Amino acid sequence: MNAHDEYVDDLALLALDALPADEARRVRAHLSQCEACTAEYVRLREAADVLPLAAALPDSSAPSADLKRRIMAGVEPQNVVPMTAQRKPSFVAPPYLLAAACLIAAIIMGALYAQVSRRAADQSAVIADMTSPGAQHYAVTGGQVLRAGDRVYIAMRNAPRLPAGKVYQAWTLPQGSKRMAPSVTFVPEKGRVLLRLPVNAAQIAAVAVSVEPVGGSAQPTSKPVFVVLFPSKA
Amino acid sequence: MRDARAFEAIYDRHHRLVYGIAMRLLGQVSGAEDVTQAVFMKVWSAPGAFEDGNFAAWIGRITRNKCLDVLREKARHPADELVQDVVSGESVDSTAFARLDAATVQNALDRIPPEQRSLIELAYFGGMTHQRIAEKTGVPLGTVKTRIRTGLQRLRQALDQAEFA
Repeated sequence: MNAHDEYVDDLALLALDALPADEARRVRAHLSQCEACTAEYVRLREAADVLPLAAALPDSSAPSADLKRRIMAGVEPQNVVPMTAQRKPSFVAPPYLLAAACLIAAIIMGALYAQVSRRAADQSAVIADMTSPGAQHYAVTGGQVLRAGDRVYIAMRNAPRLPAGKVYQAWTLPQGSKRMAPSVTFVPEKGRVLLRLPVNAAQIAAVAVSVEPVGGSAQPTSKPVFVVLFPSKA
Repeated sequence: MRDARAFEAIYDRHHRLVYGIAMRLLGQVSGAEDVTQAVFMKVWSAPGAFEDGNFAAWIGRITRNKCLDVLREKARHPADELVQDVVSGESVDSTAFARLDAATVQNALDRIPPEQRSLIELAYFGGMTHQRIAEKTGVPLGTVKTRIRTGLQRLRQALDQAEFA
């Protein structure tokens, strides 16, 4: 048994903070003089560090909005609204004008409410797709492609930085076709982007992304950053 | 100089993770909110504490350690509150990525044999040493160590394959 064998189990325990203090000190002392064990420890520690991410909550169990207010109240002074003298209205609208204004406001508010409701429903659907049991996840450079029902998403958390004057462009391969069809272009913000492709997943055989000039291209002009082939249905 | 708006963005992006860990470990709304508040106050008061790497993993570990402190300091009371259904004002983007992270890590965990995964969870979320785990589960100490090592290595491989870690 060599020195590495002696410590091999302890590295995982240290990564999980599952060693008593005296044993942890002994292992750390070894790490300070062993590159091989340090490299293995870093790998295991990185795996341990993402364990909490599995604890993300379902939508229905977020902390209360009051919690955010309490926390923000602790980090910034309360905004003081300056007192201003009330002005006398210079114009008093007749009743018929007020009624018309109320009617217009109600119509606008109704339209806005419908728009907001649709948007909220769309967002809820996106979030539900992310953890749908039937969703298929495909690991790609910088993120993943997700297929849920007839929807296809590209989710990149660490997209490689784009050269100046370039954008990412998505491509889809229609079923039975040998020619990629151009889809949306996008520029990740700080390496992150989440987009749903305007395509029916059942009608495509593959998704790809390449780096293209601003404005996009009719056909890929560079080697794809990734290509995902969807398994054909039997 | 500390920036309240930047801090608020950090809260919006990570509060679900912090609260989720606290709920998982403490199982109680008020305790989880207290820990969430304490964690974000720590982020605010010591912004230099995070040096490099994955911020979500860093804040997750702070939360886990804070919860373990709470559990160690006082006897745990049975949960007497219902989890409230409150819709937060966070962006769909943050929520979606949090879900993707959760799904990816959960998928990776699911690929670890249950006898290994359960020991890893006892160590990480239960805050137990390997000796305590052996006592609690009746699994020999050497087997506990081997299973945890093998399980964590498999988790790492699964995360690598998912291009995650």
